[in-house]
Amino acid sequence: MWYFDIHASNIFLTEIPQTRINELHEEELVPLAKESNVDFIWVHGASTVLESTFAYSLNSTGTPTLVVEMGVGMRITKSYCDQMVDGILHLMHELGMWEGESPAVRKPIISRDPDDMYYFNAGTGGIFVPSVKHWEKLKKGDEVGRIIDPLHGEVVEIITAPMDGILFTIREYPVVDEGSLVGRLLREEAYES
Amino acid sequence: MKKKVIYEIKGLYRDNFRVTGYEFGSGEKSVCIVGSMRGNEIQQLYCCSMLVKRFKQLEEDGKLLPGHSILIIPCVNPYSMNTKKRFWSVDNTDINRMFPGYDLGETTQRIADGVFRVISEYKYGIQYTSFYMPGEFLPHVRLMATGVENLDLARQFGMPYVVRRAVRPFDTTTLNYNWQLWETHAFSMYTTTTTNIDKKSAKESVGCILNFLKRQGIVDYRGHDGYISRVVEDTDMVSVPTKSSGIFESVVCVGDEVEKGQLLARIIDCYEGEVVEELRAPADGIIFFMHGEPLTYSQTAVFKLILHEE
Repeated sequence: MWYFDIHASNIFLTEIPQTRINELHEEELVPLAKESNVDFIWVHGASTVLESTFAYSLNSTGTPTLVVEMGVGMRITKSYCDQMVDGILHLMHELGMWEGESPAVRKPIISRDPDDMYYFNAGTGGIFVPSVKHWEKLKKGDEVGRIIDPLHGEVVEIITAPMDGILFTIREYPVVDEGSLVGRLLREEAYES
Repeated sequence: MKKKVIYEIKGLYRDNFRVTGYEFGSGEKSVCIVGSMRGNEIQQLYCCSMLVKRFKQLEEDGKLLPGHSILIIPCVNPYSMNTKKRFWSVDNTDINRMFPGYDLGETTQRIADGVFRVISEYKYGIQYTSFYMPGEFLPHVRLMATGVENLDLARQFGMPYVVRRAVRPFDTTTLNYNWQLWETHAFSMYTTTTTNIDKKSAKESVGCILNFLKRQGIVDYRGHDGYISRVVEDTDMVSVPTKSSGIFESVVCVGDEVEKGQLLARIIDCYEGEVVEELRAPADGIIFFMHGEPLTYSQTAVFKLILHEE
């Protein structure tokens, strides 16, 4: 038996369909994740707080469980749902559980190095207005978005890409405080190699 | 008394977010007392305000023994308190799950970092905190079993109970846990309530903290000596879960001694008013915790009992 633990992020951030894998379970889960039609596989470090999660508990007791994040909370992103259904059927076919149609799946980007990621945190509070689309490839210096003063309409911060990469997380909820996460960039070397 | 800003973030369209501390005495950083970290922790805020008032008087009366600095932070989350939200309203995160914090991280990580940089240096740390389940407790001091917890010190508060509980994975980002990692003797203080003020319990907790500080040679305090605390492991408490959902109607109070089989509460059908379940004590003991909302789900621990010592 295996599980997909499917999440749609929270209401603040939009995520590209991705699987997040604890490095402790990488060997078993990455081959499965590759067949599940996600765009991105993020192998991350172990953390004590994750030990309380459903997925960790299952993986630790020998039941492979893939955590999927896609879209944004409290919203239906139909294209991602269709993508996930295709991925589930394809994986079931590969594992001999499904004899029906097995759609072809995309080849995901895999990241194992924490230095592959760049986190955009707001330097000040305001209203975040993105300048790019989700999953857009960016060049160093490209504008990611602006933070606007809600009372006076002035631009108080312009957020730019510090390196070439692809934006796999973008803020959905416009109100930000200092420190609020507004996006995540995967550096180009992680997917061009 | 010195009023100081512990941490500040520029406000979006209102006054800046400020964590304010009140410092008494001077010298070794002896004790830090932290109040509300969540926006519904009103009792915790009130207790700290009573402590600030008390310490102001003690300082004026020369009752703070020399060589000790005391810091009280009544509220770590004034924004959430203003909007009556338990967690940080912009992203629904809990500051007490962000320690030790990260200065370049998300907002509540930065708040935790800014506060922890100041308070991690204190010898004793006391946090007025709240439970994740809504309800009422018997007043007690709580310790995490990290291996460096000190039960003898915890008894010196003179609270009726000292509860020691096992560390769970998500505790590793709490203030109490990180205080202990940074070698502060850390204690969680529980009074009866959270979202409303119980003056009697607040006053009792203030007296217990002053007792503790007297015993550490920090203040000259004359008051009740407090209880001889009973130490209880959280795993020894007995939960009484519901089988049904409905209106929760208790017939006992926190602190009551109950006998095995005694009626504790009824669950009433929300539409038809019939009793759908009676909850009874599984053993002789004392009501330590009781559910505090008028409605309950099924499979919810609405009571926790401490069993009588054999």
